[in-house]
Amino acid sequence: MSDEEQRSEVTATETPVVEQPPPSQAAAALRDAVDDDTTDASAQPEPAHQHDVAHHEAAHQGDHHAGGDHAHGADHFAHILPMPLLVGVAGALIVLTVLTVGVTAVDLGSQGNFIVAMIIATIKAALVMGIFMHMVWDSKFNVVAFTSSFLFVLLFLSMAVLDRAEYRPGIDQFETDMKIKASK
Amino acid sequence: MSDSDHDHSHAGHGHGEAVYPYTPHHFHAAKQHFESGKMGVWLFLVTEILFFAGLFCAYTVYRARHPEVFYWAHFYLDTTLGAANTVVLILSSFTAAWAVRNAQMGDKTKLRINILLTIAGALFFMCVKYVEYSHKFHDGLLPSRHFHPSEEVWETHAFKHKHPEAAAAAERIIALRTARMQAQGAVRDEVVPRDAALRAVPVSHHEEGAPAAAPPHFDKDELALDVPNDIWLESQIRALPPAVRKPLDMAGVIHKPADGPVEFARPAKAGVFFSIYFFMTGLHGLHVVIGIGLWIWMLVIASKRSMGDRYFGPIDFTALYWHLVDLIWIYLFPMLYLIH
Repeated sequence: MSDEEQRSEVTATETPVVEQPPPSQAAAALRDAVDDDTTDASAQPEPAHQHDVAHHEAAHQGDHHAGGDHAHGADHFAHILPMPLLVGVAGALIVLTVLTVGVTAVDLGSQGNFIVAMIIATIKAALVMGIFMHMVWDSKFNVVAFTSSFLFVLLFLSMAVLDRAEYRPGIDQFETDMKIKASK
Repeated sequence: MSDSDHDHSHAGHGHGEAVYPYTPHHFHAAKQHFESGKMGVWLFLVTEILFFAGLFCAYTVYRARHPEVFYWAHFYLDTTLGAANTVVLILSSFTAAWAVRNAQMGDKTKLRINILLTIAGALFFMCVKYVEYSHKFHDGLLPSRHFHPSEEVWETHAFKHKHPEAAAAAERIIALRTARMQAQGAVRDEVVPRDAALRAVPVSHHEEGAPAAAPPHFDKDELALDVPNDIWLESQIRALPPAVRKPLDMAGVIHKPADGPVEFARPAKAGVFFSIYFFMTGLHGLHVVIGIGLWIWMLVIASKRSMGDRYFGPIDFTALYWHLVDLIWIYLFPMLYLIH
């Protein structure tokens, strides 16, 4: 509740800044045009922002650029995470850390333990990326760009591992040679 | 709408200022200003992931080839300190995310408090790192040719705690072997020639001044001096019960090459683990230090400028970087500290 009040205060205090220089007719027209463009291009529904629009319109009473809903919507890009969500994610991350330490006491085989640890780490990473890094609400481009890096890492690692298997006889031979050399 | 309108508005320079005081005039709106910055940060984070990928690759390849080295090395790492650092980084990631919320709502006081808490978490992390690193330095657990561990794995507290019988058996074999070699006159001043029949005998680096533990006296039957060294060692190892032998096998202490006598020593190239360890944690630690610098900068910006729901980019971007540092640690922790 207090958050909402605070935010509306903020918007109210900022309003004069927006209104200070009376924007020229051309500038207003341009802004509307570009705002239309961006809204169309990003075309991403942001339901979490819907409740903000009312505040915004209330705060911007008398604003000169009569752009309609598009202009108002485009101005709101801050996605504020609710406190319970932040606390919940932090709590889940700590619980998962305790879990991943605890699971080492259980013998699942050398591979099994590593796989479980990596699965837990990936869940934690997904929580950090999705919520803390706002990725769930971020633009598709950023999400695709960032997650593609993981694909490239996977490609890199799998090629290296395949290569290692391929050259294993050569490496074994090299190590034997080095041993013989060292003992001479 | 037309091109001439576009030119006119830019020539006037009034547009950017009208949008928001911190939006440079070449952006048409605060939103565009924010989104171009954000895209840049995401692309930077992509390069960071690929940067760390080289080290993850080294880890994967070396662990696939030498699992015993990783099992051996994990006895030298303190899981409690690693877990403490994980929790601290998670908490500082939480305060960073909270700081973004404060910036978006224009709450200057809370914003500054959360930035300070984030810095405190980062400093705590670096203090724990300092404690860990100084222990490693002291114990000779250093990369490459500087690797001279002062304790063998069966002498470490973690190994003794987890496998007390295997540790006792290993110490007995080493004591017997030392006594045999002294009886044979093969050992002078603890220096073992590399090409001795029993190769890779660990050279103990006792602390200076501390008297070397006097080898216990074994009677002649126990020493079995008439048996050749390699056959004696093999018979000793064969006599171990499977449960006692297993951890020593897993840690690569007992090693039987296809073309030579059985070896009882620390695994060859064990030091490579510490090369990987120091490069991974070191590069991550460097990112934490850079993060501290960025957060101090953000503290200055947060104090000078008024943040709000249309100007919070700097805090958001620094938080993104900070979450990435957390993200990498989330993987490093199980990879290095939780080897089973």
